[in-house]
Amino acid sequence: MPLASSTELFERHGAAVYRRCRGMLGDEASARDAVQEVFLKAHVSRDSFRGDASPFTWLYSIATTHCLQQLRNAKLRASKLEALGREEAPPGASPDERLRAMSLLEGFALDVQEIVYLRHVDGLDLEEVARATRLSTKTVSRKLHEFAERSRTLAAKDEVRP
Amino acid sequence: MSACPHDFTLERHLAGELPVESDESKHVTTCPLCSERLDRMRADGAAYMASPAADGVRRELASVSRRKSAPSWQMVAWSVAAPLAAAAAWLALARTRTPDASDLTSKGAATVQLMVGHEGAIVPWSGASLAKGDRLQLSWTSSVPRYVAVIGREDSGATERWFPPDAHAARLEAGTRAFGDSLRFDPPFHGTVYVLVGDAPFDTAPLEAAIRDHREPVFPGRTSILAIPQAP
Repeated sequence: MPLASSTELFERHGAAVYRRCRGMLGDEASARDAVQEVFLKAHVSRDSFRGDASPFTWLYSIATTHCLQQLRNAKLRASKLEALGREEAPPGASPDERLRAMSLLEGFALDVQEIVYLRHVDGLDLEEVARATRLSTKTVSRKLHEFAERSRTLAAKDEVRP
Repeated sequence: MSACPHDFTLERHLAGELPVESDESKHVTTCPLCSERLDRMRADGAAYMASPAADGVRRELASVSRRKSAPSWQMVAWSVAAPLAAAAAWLALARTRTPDASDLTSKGAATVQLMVGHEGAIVPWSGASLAKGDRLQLSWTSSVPRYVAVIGREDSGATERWFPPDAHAARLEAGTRAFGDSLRFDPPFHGTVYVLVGDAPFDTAPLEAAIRDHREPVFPGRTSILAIPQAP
C-alpha cells in the first residue's frame, strides 16, 4: 500500500500523534513541538515505511520513540516521573511498576525503551505491544525478559555499591 | 471483553483500524465510559488541528515536500552550513569491514560528517568534547543510494539508535543532505558514534546489541566510528 503524502498523513493522524505526544510529555508546548518533529521525521524516513503496518501504527511508533528521546531531558523526565506518581495507572499497569520502568529506561536501547514503555507504563498486553511495534509477540517477550534481567542486575549492583 | 481498553486501542478505533467484528470494537461502540473518552479525544484532537501550531506543521510539511533535498526545518538550518561543511574535512568512512570493499568503492564513496550546533553557529565537529546545549546532526554525501543506520553508545553504556526510527537501515539517496534528528543531550553526549553503511537493507537490532555488549557490529557493509570525549 503506497504511503499517503506527508500533508495527508498529518490531516489523518495529526490529532492522534498530538494526543500521544501530550500524553507522554505531559506538557502542551513540548507536545506541539514534538508533533512537528514527528511528522518531519516521518517525512524524511518515508523510505523506511515497509507497508507491513498501517501508517497510523508507523506514526504512533515514531511518536513514541521521539518522545522517549525527548524524555532524556532531565526536566521533562522529572516532571514525567512526578506525573506518573500522581495519575491513575491504566488497566494492566500498577503505579509502582510504571515508576520503576520509567526510572530504569534510560540505560536501554530505544527499541527496548519503546517496548517497556508500552508494556509497563501504557499497560498494553503483549499482543498490543507487538502490534504497536510491528514485532512478533515472541520478540517482545524476549526483549521484556532481557529488560527485566538487566534491571535486576543493575539493582543488585546498586545494592552492593558502598 | 469487559474491561475498557487502553488509549492505543481507542486511537486505533478513531483511525478506523479496529475490525468491526472484534470484541474490542463491540466494547468501544457500546460502552458509555469509552464513548466519553472518545469524545474527549476527538475534542482535544480537533482543538489541536485547528490551532496555529497545526497550521505551522502544515506549512512546514508543504515546504519540505516541495523541497525534497532539505526535508525539515532543522535540516534547512543545517543546510546553511553545507558550504562550510564541504570546505571542511569530511570524515571518511574509515574502517572497512566488508569482504568486498573494492566493490563498494567502485560504486562511489560515501562520507558522513558530524555537525555541531553551538550557540547559534553550526560547525563541523572538531573532535572536541561537547558543551551543554550543543546539538548534533549528521550530514551525508554519497554518489549512489545507500542504506544507513547510526547508533550512539554513551560511555555509561547506554546504547541508542539515532537513525532511523525503525530498526531497519534507511535508504538515503545520492547527494548531500542532513539526515536524522537534530539531537540534544542533557548532559552532553560523550561516547562513541557508529555509522553503519551498506549497499543493501539490513536490520539494526543485532548490531545495536553487539555495540551495547562491546562487540564488533558485523554486517555486510562498513562501519565508521567517531569517539566524542567527555568534557574535562
